[in-house]
Amino acid sequence: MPEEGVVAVGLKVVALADPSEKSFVEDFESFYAAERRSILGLAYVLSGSRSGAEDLAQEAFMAAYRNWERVSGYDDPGAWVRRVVANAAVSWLRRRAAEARALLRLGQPDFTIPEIDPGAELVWREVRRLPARQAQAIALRYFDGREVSEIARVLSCSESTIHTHLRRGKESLARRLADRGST
Amino acid sequence: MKALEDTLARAADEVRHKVAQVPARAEGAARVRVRTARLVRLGALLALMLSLGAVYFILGPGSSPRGFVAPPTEPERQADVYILFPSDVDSMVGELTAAEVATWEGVEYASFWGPERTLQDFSELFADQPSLIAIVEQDPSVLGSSVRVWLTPDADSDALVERARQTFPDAVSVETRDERNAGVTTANGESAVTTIAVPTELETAGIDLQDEILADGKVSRDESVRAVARMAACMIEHGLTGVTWSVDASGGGWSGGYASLAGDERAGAGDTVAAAEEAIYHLCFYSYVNRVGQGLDRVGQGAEWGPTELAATVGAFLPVLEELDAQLLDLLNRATQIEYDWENREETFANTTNALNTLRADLESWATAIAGRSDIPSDLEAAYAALVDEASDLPEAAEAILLGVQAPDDGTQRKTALSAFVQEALDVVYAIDTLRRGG
Repeated sequence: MPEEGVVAVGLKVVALADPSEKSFVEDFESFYAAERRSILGLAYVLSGSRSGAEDLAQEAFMAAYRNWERVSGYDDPGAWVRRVVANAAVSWLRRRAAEARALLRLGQPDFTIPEIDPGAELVWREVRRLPARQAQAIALRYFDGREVSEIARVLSCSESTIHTHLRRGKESLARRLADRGST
Repeated sequence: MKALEDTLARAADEVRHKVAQVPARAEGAARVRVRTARLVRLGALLALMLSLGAVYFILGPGSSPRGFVAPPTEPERQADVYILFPSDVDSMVGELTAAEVATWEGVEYASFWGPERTLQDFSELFADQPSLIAIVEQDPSVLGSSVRVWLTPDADSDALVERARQTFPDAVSVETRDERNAGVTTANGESAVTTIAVPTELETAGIDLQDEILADGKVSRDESVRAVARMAACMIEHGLTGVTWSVDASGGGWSGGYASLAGDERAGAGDTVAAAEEAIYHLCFYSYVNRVGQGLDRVGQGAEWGPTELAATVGAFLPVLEELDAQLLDLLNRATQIEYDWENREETFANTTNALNTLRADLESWATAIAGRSDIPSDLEAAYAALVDEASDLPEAAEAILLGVQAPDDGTQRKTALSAFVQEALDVVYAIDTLRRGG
């Protein structure tokens, strides 16, 4: 267990919670364990960085932890974390920061995602070339398996807007992949 | 579309499969690891800064290509230009940004101020208002982070401000000293009638509202109205009278919003009341509007509202830029992998030097291909020349990593070279982004 007054969340160590509030910490840890892989994968498909995705995911979980008292009260805390990571992953500044952190994480255990099959990598690369909102909608729908209503909640827009993003994104994606002979 | 959905499903399965192989970060040794990581990171940054400083000292003011020497200490006078970033900007990005700005012509010194140092500065500025400081201390992130720039006497501050805006599109805003002081002045010296005790906590409802508004990275017209209206309501709820509010519209775009007190409500109050009003004003401002206001600043730069009108030729060139960006990311990924494999003794010396040689050669080819393109739209030629210039620096930066691997030291030379490589890659990213915005 972490030291008194200190909660360990992966690499980060934060003295935020009263250690007597065990349920607070345990509640977050359960959430982290349940959501970690999905969030990490989402960070990867939207950032394209095998090494930086883990930092992006950690950043999102840390944001959730800092606001856990509030976020845990939401109907779907996972949607909140997805929104954070989806926005961070498409921001070049944050993406590069995560890359740089990964480069400088010398002598640390490896949290880099193993090399992705070239065919799959090509698909996600083309997804990332779409406008940010279309890429986010497609990643949430087809990687994360979220329904349109859930995606609308994550991205804070209407369901009809999400339908539009998905339709336009898929049309562009199909065209680009066809040009590359991938579908 | 069925074929596309099947393709996406297979691609998703592949990523899920690979993500499942990434170990979770264990709790046990976390504290040791974070200390180590910080030390390594600080060491790498220090080495980078020292190496930059050493170059300036070796070249001297006469021989430096920039014609100046960075002074060893920060000037004591107020900075001339402020490049404001969101408070959560990575400190390494901030340090690298400052290091880059320090090399610009006309810059005497540049340094990164994170939330802690900014709070210290804020506390000195408002030393006579302890209740205001107490409010901000609860969440120093409301103050943001910045790169502060000191100029030489003959520098063109307007040109530097413009360059900073072009170079750092994720900056919240770029302000001169006068603009910044104007903001401070308007927040001082007014008075209002209130007998309500000054609150000492930011309002959760406001923080939630700002989180909600900023969640999609944009601030709409309706959202800005909501935020400012709630700020005004906050001021009234805490006992201020004569509160008015509006959201400015000028030149077809939104320039910002504010809530304030009507002039005739300000007369005749003493210093104590003025301080109370000040604290309540800031409580409501930081609770409901501050971060949304930063979003509006970005709107003002055309990032969200009023998108820049790109010429058709420039728009047609954007896919090329996306391709270059993706290729750069791949090259960075390769550098990461080589570094990891060598550091963890998973690759032999021969394989590592071979991989770095191949990386250097690929970077050379990449830079050559960029330089050889003939389809550059005429209005992008100048900005594209800058990209060619930045990309040409990458092979040498990779070569430096190779020399670091070969150096008979404890790895410091290699790690320093790696930091410099990241900086060079960031320069290429900035150049690509400048092109994206039409040069």
